[in-house]
Amino acid sequence: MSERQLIQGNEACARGALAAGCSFFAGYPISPSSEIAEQLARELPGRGAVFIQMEDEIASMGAVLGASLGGRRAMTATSGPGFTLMQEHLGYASLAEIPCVVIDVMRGGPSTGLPTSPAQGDVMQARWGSHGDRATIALAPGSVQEVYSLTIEAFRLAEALRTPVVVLYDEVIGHMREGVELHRPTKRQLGRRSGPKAAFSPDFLPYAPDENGVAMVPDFGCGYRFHVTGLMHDERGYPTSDHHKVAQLLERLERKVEPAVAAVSPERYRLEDANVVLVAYGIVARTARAAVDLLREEGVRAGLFRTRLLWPIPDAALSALCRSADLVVVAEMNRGQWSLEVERLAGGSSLLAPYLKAGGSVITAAELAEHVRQSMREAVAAP
Amino acid sequence: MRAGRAGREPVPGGAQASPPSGNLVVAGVGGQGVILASNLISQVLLDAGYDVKKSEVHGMSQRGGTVVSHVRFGPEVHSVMLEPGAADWIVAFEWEEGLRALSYLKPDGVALVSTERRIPPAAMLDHRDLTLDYAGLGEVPPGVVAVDTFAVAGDAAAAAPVVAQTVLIGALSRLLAFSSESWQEAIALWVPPKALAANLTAFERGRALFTDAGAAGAAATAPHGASAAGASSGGGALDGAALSPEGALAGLVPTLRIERSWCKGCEICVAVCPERCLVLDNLDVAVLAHPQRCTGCELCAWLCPDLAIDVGLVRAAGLAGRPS
Amino acid sequence: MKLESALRPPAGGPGPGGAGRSPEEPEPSAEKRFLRHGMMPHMLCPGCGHGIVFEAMLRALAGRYESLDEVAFVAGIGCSSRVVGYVDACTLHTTHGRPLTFATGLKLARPELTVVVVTGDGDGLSIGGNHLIHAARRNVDLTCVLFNNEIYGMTGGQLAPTTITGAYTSTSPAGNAESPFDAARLVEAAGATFVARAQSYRPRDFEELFLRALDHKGFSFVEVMTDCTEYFGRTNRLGNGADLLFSQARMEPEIDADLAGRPTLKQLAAKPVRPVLEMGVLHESNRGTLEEAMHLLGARS
Repeated sequence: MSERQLIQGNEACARGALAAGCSFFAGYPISPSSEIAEQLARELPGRGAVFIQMEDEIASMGAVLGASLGGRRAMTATSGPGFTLMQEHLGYASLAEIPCVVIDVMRGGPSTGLPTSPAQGDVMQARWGSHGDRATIALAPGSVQEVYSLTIEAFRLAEALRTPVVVLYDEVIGHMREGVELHRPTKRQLGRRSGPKAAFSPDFLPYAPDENGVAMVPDFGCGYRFHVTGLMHDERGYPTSDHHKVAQLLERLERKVEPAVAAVSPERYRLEDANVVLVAYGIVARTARAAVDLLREEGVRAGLFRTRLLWPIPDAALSALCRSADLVVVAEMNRGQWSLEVERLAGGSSLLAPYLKAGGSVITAAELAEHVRQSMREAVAAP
Repeated sequence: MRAGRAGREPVPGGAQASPPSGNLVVAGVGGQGVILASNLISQVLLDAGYDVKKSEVHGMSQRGGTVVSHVRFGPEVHSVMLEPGAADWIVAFEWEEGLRALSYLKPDGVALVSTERRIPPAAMLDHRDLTLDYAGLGEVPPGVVAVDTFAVAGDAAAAAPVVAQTVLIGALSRLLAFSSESWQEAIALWVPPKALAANLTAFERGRALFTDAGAAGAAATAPHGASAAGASSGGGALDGAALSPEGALAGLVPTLRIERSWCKGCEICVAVCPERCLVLDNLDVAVLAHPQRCTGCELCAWLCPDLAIDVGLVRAAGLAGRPS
Repeated sequence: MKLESALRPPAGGPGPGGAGRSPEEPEPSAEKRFLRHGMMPHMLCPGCGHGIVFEAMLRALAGRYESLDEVAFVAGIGCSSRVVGYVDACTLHTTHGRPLTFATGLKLARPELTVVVVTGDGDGLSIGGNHLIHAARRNVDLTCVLFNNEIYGMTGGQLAPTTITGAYTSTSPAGNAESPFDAARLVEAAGATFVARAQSYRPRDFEELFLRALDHKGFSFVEVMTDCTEYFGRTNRLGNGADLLFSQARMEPEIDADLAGRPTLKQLAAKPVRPVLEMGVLHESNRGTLEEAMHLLGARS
């Protein structure tokens, strides 16, 4: 059952959250994400669902985590400066294994930057914004339709893997209107939260991992008494500084997000015979697709690898791609973030010519195609 | 001696309608009306034609500290302060304060002691450098009577708990057997008008605790919920066990359980114990060195930062066979 | 033996001692059943006033609850906040200064839970000061207990927003040049509907105030003055835990320390002056809670 509607990217996000069963939103106003909060402020109240505007983004994330521990599917939405403030609690959520969804509608940075212009500058912040080693999941929808479906998927991953999931898209997608099919998610698409498999007993271990390496933490108020902390902890949830246990915990937290790679597959456009590979995500992938078509018309065997998953990075697919290509062009609207990762994965196996553009305007198909032509000429000219 | 149900006991020590002279100690903690009560008693004595002298010691009374008043009367009284062992009667509104005041009691004196307990916070300060040993009191005087003043007062104390202590004035009025009217007049003079009715009720209920001398069962009917019990049959060694109110009522002794592995040796319990029962052992762990002095006041448990102390009542072997 | 009893819950029951208890020993007091015995002894310093307040909290709860299944403790970071880890309840040890934000989310998500926030003066008034005033303003039905020991204990005795003027800390070696917050008045001004202040010296009074705060519908706040023996007490030469308690008992307007030979700020009086603080219920009023305004009570979807 579905219906097709012309809606804005931010509205699609709110609709996706509601379809995914989100019943708690805490946030703080910030451009260009405010429409998500505004829409949920209209739609959430009633039937016990909660919308609350907090005093800042730190508080918003705190409230989201508190609500999630109370059993809610909870989320917030923000943009760069707010995302920076949320890092503290993103780290907490990762370590304490509290499911939550964070939408970051990216704008130009650093600092207050370009509040109403698009950018893709938060990719590394999503990965490393919080201190310490932290495994993260970050999704990158490339259309309004995908904002809807990946918001649903973000909730599924967050709940099933008990980890924060970030959805990164930019101002253009957030404010763009497209016809969207608002399909009702199936039970499988909704997923369910990993939780305890036995009733409470004094030797109950809330942080013992299940077969997928996900802690079986119950919700508060369900008859289980246990401790949640941002300190390194053992399976009882009690603080520990046992180096062995801490190392094991960090390894497990990193491993447990790996299923996201299989769950969120990339789009491969005209890649079958391509020796010139464009790599892009989000709004840039749309122009990169057009650039591929332009280049194909000129006889260049170009293709596009459009990732919908930024973190964990789909490393096997990217490594293979780089080995089979002659030229790899990562195009992104920043000074070079994901392209560094691709360069690492290529390991020198192919020629890399990232196309980086920061400044608040979108990369066009023409300029990207020209960059590819130029790079090909330089490759030929090189000894 | 032991007082049983209200109205069933003769007046301890016998009623004295017009003693030639006498000494009283009124003891309690700040806020219990010790000064008012001693004024009231003095008023009755003055009205009866005695020379009366009265002292007040209430250093920390504003903060719940010890308040003691000595009242002396006779044809002519010079000194106001009592020597230990010189009191004919003690009226104590608080259990621990009653314990402290017992050193003033004559061997054949009578002490009316409320089982109400209010730990005087200032007791800590009073005894920072002293050990309170109740020196000279090896025996429980036979005339100690524990009175559950709240139970006896019943609804009379509902509005203002302090009214419960007037029960002891009522009981005292049987010992100092001036006319009931003279007591009531004194109460009317000293008690605020709005509290007069409740105080008179409590007074009557206190009076009803004892029968007239030798006439068991002749007193007024027992007030609702009233009970009174003696501290012990006397003659035993004076220790906290015999003198704790619950112990007095049930034959149990207070003692401590100290979780040694939790104690960090901060010495707070050692310093705050009003009876100086606790010391640190050679491992810097608190131990109950003087169990016989423990009154079960729980101050150590309340102020132990390590949650290491539990206070409770146990049936001690030495007292197990004692009638209660 | 000591190690063993510290690590393992006793075999014979919930209280300390368990099977090894002799018949001459009293029963463990009722509040001990709410402890995580496997975590004890706690990590607070000898003589720390927080332990006194902590046990008083447990005692108050023991008189009210059979089990703490429906009670959540939310704490921030610092000495005070660590106490929640020792309660056998739903306990949430959050980030520095943020416990009220978690508690707000939790309470709105599950209004049927009793949510108690434990915070300290640094946690609640410095890094978390903004959250504190907004929680008071929102009037969510939370109870917040702020342990005020006038210093940062966990990090080594640094200046706190509650350190009295002139007092020495490791980051005010010449005496504190700043003025302290009055936490209770701040929270009252921000709109809290129940505000009280207690002291670790009178744990029974604290119990009563804590129970009243729990009963109160809306945001209730209890500031409790406690003593940091190892840093505040030592740095200002105030003696041991007992001395600090007695000092509370006297409610000394001056910190009566031998400060001879210590550097002093020229513009300040020679001795640090601690304001005489009013104790008890400082403010009580009633207005609708946020849960009521949101129609959350009994409306769980």
